[in-house]
Amino acid sequence: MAEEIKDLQKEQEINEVQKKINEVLNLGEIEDLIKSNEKIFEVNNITYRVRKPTFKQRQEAYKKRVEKFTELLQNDKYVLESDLKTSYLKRNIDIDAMTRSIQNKMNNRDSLMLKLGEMIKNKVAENELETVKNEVQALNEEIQRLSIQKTNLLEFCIENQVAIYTYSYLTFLLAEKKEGDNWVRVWNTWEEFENEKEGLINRFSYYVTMMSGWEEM
Amino acid sequence: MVVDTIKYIRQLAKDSKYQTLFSLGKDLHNINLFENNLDFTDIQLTFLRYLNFYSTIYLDIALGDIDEIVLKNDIYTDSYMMWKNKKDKLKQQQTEFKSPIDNVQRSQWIFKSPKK
Repeated sequence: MAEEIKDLQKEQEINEVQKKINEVLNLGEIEDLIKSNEKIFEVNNITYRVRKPTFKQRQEAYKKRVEKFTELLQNDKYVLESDLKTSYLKRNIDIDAMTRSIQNKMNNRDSLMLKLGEMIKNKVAENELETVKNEVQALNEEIQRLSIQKTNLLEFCIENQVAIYTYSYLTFLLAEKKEGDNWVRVWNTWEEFENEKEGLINRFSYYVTMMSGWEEM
Repeated sequence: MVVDTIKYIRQLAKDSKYQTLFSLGKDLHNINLFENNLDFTDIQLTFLRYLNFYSTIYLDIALGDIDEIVLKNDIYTDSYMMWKNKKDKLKQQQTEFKSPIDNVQRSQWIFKSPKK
């Protein structure tokens, strides 16, 4: 029994150290991303680069977005967000009610935060601050839970599929690799991109999202 | 891949090294925070917003307006800034309403001499 407790403690310590190492690595990764508007990294002795998209690249991705939206709209297998909401309603899942509930919780959270802000300004005792903070935290968790639930329910609508496609296309456009003294495109065709290993695409996609924004397009 | 990006951006923006660079960079133009001087990425702009955000907090602490407890967690920090911004907005609206220019214009209209 004592041996088991000892092992458990050791495992907890290892996890704690691992967590700290990850924190430092993550902080370093973000610091590296912040210092410049381009990111250079190496995988299997190949040097890759991703840069902030130019106006021309954004325009090209936007054109593809319009094309994809029109294409999916003409296909009966895909549904718009509004159609999906109607289908869910028939199964007693009310997405609009979910949105209203999120908004109400956000309004309540904001009122509590304003109250807490004033309490901090008035230098109120910490235990009182902590009570309001816990209420804010509980509301934040509920908002997050409902938002995830809503996002998951609407995952397969045309609008969402188009957004995923646009970011994938932007990743395809922005990824470069070094060949001698020159930077060249990693994938010459969309088919090449689609057949690439997921790990490399995910890494590029992450940098593209960090550089070009989450909701800009 | 880093999941909680904002958490790390805030951690860096709070750091004294970046706060010093941010503050010096306002006056001394040869001090740059980034390798690029323009065409900032989304993450760089978010970082700049947080640098400014924490700079305001540090100033308020230095002025004795608030205690350091405001930095204890993000909810305290965000709540204080939310309240401060709302208060400043209200103050600005009141000033605009009582603007001296506005008063002069009103007076001119009120005391306008009647047409002969």
